[in-house]
Amino acid sequence: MTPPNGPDTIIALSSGQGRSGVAVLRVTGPRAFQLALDLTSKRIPPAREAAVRWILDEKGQQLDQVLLIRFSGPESFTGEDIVEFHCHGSPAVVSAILELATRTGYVRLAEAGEFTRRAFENGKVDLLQAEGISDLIDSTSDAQLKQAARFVAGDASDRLKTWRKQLLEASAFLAASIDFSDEGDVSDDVYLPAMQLIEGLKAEFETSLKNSDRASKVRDGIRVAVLGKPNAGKSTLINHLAAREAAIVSDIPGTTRDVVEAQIQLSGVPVTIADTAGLRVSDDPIEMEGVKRARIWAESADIRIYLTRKDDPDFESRPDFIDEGDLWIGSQWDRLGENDISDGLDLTISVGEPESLSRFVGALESRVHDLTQTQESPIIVRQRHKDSLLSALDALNLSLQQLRDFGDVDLAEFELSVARSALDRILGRVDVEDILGEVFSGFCVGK
Amino acid sequence: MSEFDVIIVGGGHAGCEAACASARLGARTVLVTYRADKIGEMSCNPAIGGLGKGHLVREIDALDGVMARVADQAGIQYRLLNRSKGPAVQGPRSQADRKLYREAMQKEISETENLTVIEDGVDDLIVEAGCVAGVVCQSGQRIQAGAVVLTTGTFLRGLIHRGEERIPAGRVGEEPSNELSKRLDALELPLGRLKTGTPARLDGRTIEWDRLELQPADDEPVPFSFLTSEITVPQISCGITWTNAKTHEVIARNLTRSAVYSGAIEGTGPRYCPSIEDKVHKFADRERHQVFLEPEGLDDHTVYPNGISSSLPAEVQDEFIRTIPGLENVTIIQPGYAIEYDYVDPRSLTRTLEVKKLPGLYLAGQINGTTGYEEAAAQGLIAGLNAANRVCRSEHDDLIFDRAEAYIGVMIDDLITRGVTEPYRMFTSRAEYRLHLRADNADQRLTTRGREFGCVKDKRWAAFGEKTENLHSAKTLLQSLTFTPNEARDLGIEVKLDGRRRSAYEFLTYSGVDVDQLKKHWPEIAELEPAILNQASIEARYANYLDRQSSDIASLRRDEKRRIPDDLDYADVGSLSNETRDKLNRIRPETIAQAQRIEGMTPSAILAVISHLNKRDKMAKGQEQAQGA
Repeated sequence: MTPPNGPDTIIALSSGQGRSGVAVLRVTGPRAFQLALDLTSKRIPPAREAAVRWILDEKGQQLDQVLLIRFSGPESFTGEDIVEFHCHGSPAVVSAILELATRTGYVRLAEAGEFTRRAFENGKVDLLQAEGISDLIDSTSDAQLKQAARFVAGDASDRLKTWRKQLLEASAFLAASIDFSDEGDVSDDVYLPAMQLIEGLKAEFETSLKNSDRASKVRDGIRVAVLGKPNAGKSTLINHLAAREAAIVSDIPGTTRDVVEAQIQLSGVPVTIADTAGLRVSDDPIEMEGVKRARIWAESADIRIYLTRKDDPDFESRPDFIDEGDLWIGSQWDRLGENDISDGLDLTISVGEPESLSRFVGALESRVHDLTQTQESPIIVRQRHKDSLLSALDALNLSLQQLRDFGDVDLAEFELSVARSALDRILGRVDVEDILGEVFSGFCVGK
Repeated sequence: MSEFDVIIVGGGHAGCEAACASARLGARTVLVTYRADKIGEMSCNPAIGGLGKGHLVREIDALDGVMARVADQAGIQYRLLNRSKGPAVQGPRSQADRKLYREAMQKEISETENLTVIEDGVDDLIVEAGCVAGVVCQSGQRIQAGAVVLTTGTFLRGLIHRGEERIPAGRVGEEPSNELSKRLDALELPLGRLKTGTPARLDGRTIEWDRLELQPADDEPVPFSFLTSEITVPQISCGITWTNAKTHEVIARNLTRSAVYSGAIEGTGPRYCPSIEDKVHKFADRERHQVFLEPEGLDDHTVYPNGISSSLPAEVQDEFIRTIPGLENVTIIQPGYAIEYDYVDPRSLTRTLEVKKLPGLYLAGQINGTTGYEEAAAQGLIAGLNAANRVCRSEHDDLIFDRAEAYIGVMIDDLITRGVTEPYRMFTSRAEYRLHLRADNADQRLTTRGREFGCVKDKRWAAFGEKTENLHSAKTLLQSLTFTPNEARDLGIEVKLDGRRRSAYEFLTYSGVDVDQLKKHWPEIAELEPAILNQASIEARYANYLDRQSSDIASLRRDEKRRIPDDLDYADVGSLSNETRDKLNRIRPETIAQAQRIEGMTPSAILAVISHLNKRDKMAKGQEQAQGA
C-alpha cells in the first residue's frame, strides 16, 4: 500500500545502464528501510556501514548477493532515508531487483532527476547546486567536469551568498539611515559605506559577467569554423583533428556542400569543428546554399580558421573576417612549389609534415584555452544566471546614481532590493528580516 | 437579548481605537477598563508617530479612526522625520502632552455614540457553543456580547523588575490581570513572555536646561490627521544630552544588579529599544549615547529621558543619571523599570485578529507581541471593525488589507504568518511596497475602502471627495502643459532631443526636477493649492517605480485571492516534507500568498499545495455535476 500522503518511496538504477561489474540501485523515501528489510529478510546495518546481504525473492530464493548501505534522513543526499544496493552489474539482476521492489506496492520507479529534486525540495542543495549536479552528470569533458563539480561543492552558491550578504549590508546602512534617522547612534553619512559596498559589488558583477562567457563556453563548448576556398584542404585538416572520416575528402573542388561538424576535446573543453563549404561563387544552388550556411556558421563561431593555398591567386592579405583570435593558415605548403609569401600567416601546414600539424593543434589549443580559462570559479554559466546578474548590475548602477546625484535614499534602497531579488532568483529566496537582523547587529539603535 | 454587541477589554491605545471603531460601525459597544480616568494614558514615551509608526497613524486616520485627531489636539513638538530623504519614508511625529492627549481621548470616547464605559476588571470569558459570548468581571458582573476584543497591554501576568525588586503590576501602581491570563492558558492558547522597559521620570525643574542643546519643533507643523488644517497647541523644544565614560562606568559596575542581566527576566526585549545597560554592554566601544529630554506636557514638569530605560536598582539609576551633563542635580520622580508580560503567539490569529480556535474573540496590541501605541491602535481598529462586522452585519466581508495596500496589512501579515521573537515594531523597511505605502497618500489608499465598509463618516468622506477632485484636476493640468525638448533644456531639464513633447507631470517623474522649476514657466502651476500640488508631484515622483512593481503586486494579489480552505488536511497533500507539513498545520495560512511568506517555505511545497487545491476543486466540480445529473 502506498501511504496516502507525503513523499512516496522511489527506486532507480543510479549507475550506468548495461553490463558492469557492480551496479548501484538507490532507494529514497519514508519506506526505504522497510524495503531493505523486506528484500533481505535480515536486520539492516547501522547508518553509513556497509553489510553484505542476500536479496531474496518472494519465495525466499536467493537472487543476488549485494552490498547494502543505508543513510538516515536528514543526513543523506535527498534529506530522506536512503538505501543503496550494490548488486552485480548484470541487466538481468538489476531488472529483477527493480521488479521485486516495485511489486511490494510501496515503491515506484523514480522519474528522471527525482533524487536531485528531492534534495532541492528538502533544502539539501540550492538551485545552483542542483543545476551543477545535472551538469556534472551530463559533462563530457574534463573542464566541464571540474566546473560542474565546483557548482556542486557550492563555490558559486557561496559567492552569491557573499554578494547577497554585502547587498544586505548596504541595504542595512540605508535602512538605518531611513528607519533610525532620529536616533542618536546612526549618523547622517551612513550611506557612504553603503556606496562603497555597492561600488565593490558592481566591480565584482562586471568581472563575473566577463568570466561568464568563458564559463558558458566550457559548459556549451567552443565552436570552430574551418573556412577557405574550395579544395583548400579544410576537410583533410578536420579529419586529422577528428582522426576519423567526418567529412568526405576528394580532389574535386566543392565536395563539402553542407556544414559538417566534428566533436573533439581540446584543453579539456569540448570543441565542435565545422567543415564548411568552400567559399566560392558557383551556379550550383545547392553549393551556394552551403556557402551561405558556412558564412552564418563562421560569423557565430568562437574561432575561425581560414585556409589559403600557396597557389591561390588572391593570396596577398589577411581576410577581413579573420580576427586576432582566429587563425589564418597556409595550407598544403609542401605540395605546391616554392613561395616565400608567408607574411601575416599565423601558421603553415602540410599533411606530410606531422610537426606542422602538431604546431597547428597546439595553436588551436592555446586559443581554446584563452577563451575558456578563468581566474576564479565561475558563477554564471547559464543564460538564466546571466540575465539575473545583468538586471542586478543595472539596479546597482541606478542605486548609485540615486545616492550620488540626488541623495534619494528611498529610491536607492528600492534599487538594492531589485538587485537582491535578482540574486535570489538565482538561489531562490528573499526576506526582510535579514535586513533588520543586519541593522541590529551593526547599530546600537533606540533612544 | 444582551445589552451589547461587542466588548472591548482595556482602555489603552488598542482599546480606545477598537471601541470607537466598533461603535462607529453601529455596534452597541462597551469598553471595560479598570479606571476610566486612565483611558488614553501614554504609559511610556510621550510621543505619537515616527518612522513607520507615523504611517500607521495616517492609515488609522484614513479609516476615520481617532488616534490622529486626538494627537493633533495634544502635539507639542511636531517634527516630520526624514524630511530630506524622499516622501515615501517621511514620518510625522510629535511629542504629546500626556494630559491633553488623555483628555482629548476621553472626550472622544464619551462623545462616541453606541459606546459605554464600565469600570471593572475582566477575569473570565463566557464561552457558549465554541464561541465567545461575553465576559465575567471582577465585580461578578456578567456582560453578554457577540464578540470580545482583548487589549490587555502589559497587564497579563505583568511583573515589574527593578534591580532585585519584583512587583506584580500592569503598570506602576496598577494591579495585573492574572485571572484572565490563566483563562487564556486554559484555552490552550500559546502564551509567551516578552519584556519592555521604561526610563526614570525626571523633575524638569531640576534640569539645567541652559546647558543643553535644544531641538525645536518644525516651523510649520505637519498634522497627523487629514482633517486637521492647523495645529493650535503651543510648540516646545526638547533637550539633548549625552551619557559619558563616567555614566558607563557606573552602569558596568552594577550590571549584575540589572534585572535583565541577573537572569531574572525570561521574556525577550526589543533590540531596537534597548535599555541603557544593554547599550553599554553590547556596544562597549561607543563613548556616549544620546539622551533626549522630552517634557511630558505644557504644564507638567515631568520629563521623559528618552534613551536610558533601565531596570537597575533605583539608587544605581540615581547615580548614573547624575553623571549626565545637565542632570547633575536632578530629582527622580519615579525610577525606570522593566516589565514582563504574557502575550499570545499571534500565529494563532486570523487576518482579522480573531482567535482561530475561539470565534468571536479578538486580540489587539501588546497581547499580540507588538510594542508601540500606533501598532496597538492600528490592530485595535482592525479588531474592533471586524468584531462589530461579525456580530451586527451579514452582508459585508471582513475588512482585510494586504501588504501592497497598507502598513496595517504588512504588520498583521507579519504577525500572523511569522509570529514574534521580540516585541514587534513597525519599520518602513518591513514594507516591500513602501514607495507606494506613503504617509501622504494613506487617504488615497484607504478611505474609499473604509467608506464602502461603513467606517468612514460623512464629514471625512466629503473632505476626501473634495481633495480627490482637486488632486485630479491638478494632475490633469500638469499633464496638459507640455514642452518640446529644446524648451525643456532652456528650463535646465536634461532630456533627449527626440522632438517628443513632454508634460509637466512627466518632468516631475524625473529625479532632480522639482515643482519650483516648473512654476517659473507655467504660472498656472503656482496657482494650485500647495498641498495638492505637493501631493501630485509626489505621485509623479514614484509613478515609474510603481510601474516597475506592478507585476509583483499583481502576482501578490493573485496569490492573495487563492484561498486555502480552513478544512484542508495537509496530510492529504502529496510530496510535502514533514517539517513543511508541520509548519503549514501550525500556522494554517489563509491564502497561498500567506503560505509563501512562511519562513523556510520552498517553492515546490507551495506548488504541491496549489496542485492539491486544483485537484480538490476539480473533484468538487465533478461531484456537483454528478449530483446535478
